Amino acid sequence: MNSLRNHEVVVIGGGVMGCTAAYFLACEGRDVALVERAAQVGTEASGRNAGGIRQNKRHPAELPMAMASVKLWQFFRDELRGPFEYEQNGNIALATSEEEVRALEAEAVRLQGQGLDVRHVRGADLKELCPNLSDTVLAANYCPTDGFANPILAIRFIAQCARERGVTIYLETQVTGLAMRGGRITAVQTNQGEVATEAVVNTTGPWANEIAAMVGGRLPFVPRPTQLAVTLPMPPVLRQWISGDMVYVRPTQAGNLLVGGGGPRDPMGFARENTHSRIHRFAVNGARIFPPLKRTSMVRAWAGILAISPDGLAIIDRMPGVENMVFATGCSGTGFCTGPGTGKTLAEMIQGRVPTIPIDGLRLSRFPADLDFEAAYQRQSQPEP
Amino acid sequence: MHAGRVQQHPILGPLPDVPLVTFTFNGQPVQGRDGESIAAALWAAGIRVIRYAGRRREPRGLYCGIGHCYECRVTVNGIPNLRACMETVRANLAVEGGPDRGVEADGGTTHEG
Amino acid sequence: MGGVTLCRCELVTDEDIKAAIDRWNVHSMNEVKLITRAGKGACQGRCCFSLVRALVAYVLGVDPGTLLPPRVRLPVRPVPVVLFGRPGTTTGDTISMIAPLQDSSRERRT
Repeated sequence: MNSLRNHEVVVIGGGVMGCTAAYFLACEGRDVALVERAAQVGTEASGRNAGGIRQNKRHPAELPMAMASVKLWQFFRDELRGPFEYEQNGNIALATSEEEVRALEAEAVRLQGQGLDVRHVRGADLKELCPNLSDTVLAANYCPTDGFANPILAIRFIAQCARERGVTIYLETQVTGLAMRGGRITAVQTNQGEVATEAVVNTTGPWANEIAAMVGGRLPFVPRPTQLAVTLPMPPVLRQWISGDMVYVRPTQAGNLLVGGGGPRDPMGFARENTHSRIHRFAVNGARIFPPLKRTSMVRAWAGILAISPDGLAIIDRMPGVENMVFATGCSGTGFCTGPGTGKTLAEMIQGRVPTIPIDGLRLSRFPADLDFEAAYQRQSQPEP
Repeated sequence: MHAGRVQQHPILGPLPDVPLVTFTFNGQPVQGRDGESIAAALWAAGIRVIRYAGRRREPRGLYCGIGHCYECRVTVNGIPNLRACMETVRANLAVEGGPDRGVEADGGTTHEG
Repeated sequence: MGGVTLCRCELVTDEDIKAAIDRWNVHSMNEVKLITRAGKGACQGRCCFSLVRALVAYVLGVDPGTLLPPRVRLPVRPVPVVLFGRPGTTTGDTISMIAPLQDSSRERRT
């Protein structure tokens, strides 16, 4: 365990955004501390998600971030030889009704217009692409460069790369306060001592408001748990990530299938529980779009906490009222994929540069300052049966 | 067919009379005593290998025998991953070993929280 | 994949575990499970846990009692997907895995 010293930049939160931000800052020669309160990096959403690295179905404001992030994931895998099982077998978004088919057709045109290789597929082509889809699937949008990785290994690998570049990672270190003078943070206070610093990055995901409160701020997002489940191993029946009918399914190298899917009205909070009704939906809806699921069993379920923003898009910006703090949160369940792009963007902002990846639609200013999103979300949320 | 069965036990006494039924294991007919565990019937029939595990296709069969280890897992009438040591024999059950991962799976890691 | 098989379900050997500890600087049973897959299989670590813990304690040079078991999650035993949503069941019903075939046989006879 390192004993604390002063650093030029402190990154708070050791998930995918924090680890990549620290890495890219260190690549530019900055002296960086990464502060993580758990005993290891990537113990929360970044290590619990299904590992999707996806450009398909992206909102226009977020597609550049997703496409840039795919390139960065490739960099970590190929240039840095990262052993985190990143496969680009494709993402298939399914339509099970005529209305969904029409929506997919329009979405394919929109995504292609932004430069994404995505194809609208049906009939024999769809059958050849993914032979085991059910007959309830009428058509699909297929992005061949999409894929998935093992997030547990990915985060740990990126942290190792960051360390090799000179980042000091402080584990079991919780931020308890931020000392400010004249609108600038001068030091980060933790349960292990104080770190004097010149700049701070807040990448604590759904806990971002714990940190924001320390500078008198509040960001418009709510924490929300989401569940996943995994099957026992079976012979290979699926190559791609498929999604439809409120669930997604994807294969793993070990032969299991991961099944997940959120609910837009799920209650907010930090309770990482699994429920029978959600596992039930994974099984029933999953088998409905992908019948081979009936040949296996659900062996385990788990959960993670997401940061849900008012429009489902990430919020990446400077902290209002603080000269030397940037943050990213609100990734609403897609943050693993966009992690590297977000981390690189945060590093560029700390360095005083205009971000390379366009984040025009992802700034905090798109929301009214007096928005009480928590109240609005509470009103429309419904507990599960 | 009775190979391996205890016909007379010092404490439990003689093996009671129970109807024999036929079920299939991987397509082959096997006789068992109605109501005994599938694993017992397979064992009595001299079948030791229930499935083949992983890339090296390691032969697996009865291991703990008490419903703990899932080594004896079988698919019965289409329901997968049932424990042969816990499921009982009935006439005309269709039993298959497994399912198991394919030979392509190299034991890579998945991730769970 | 040489060595002695410790986790039968996921085919994890002692060599795999030692290599993972070395490569990823592992210090807990939960980390061993996440990274090597030991304990992620059908029996969810019931058979391998004490073996794996003994090895990890030996490699790390700590008392095995200090290595806490990984988290336990639903479902308690693997549940075949086909048992969810069967006619006559609703979400929230307990799915008994003690003898699901018995239940399914009974259902088919009615």
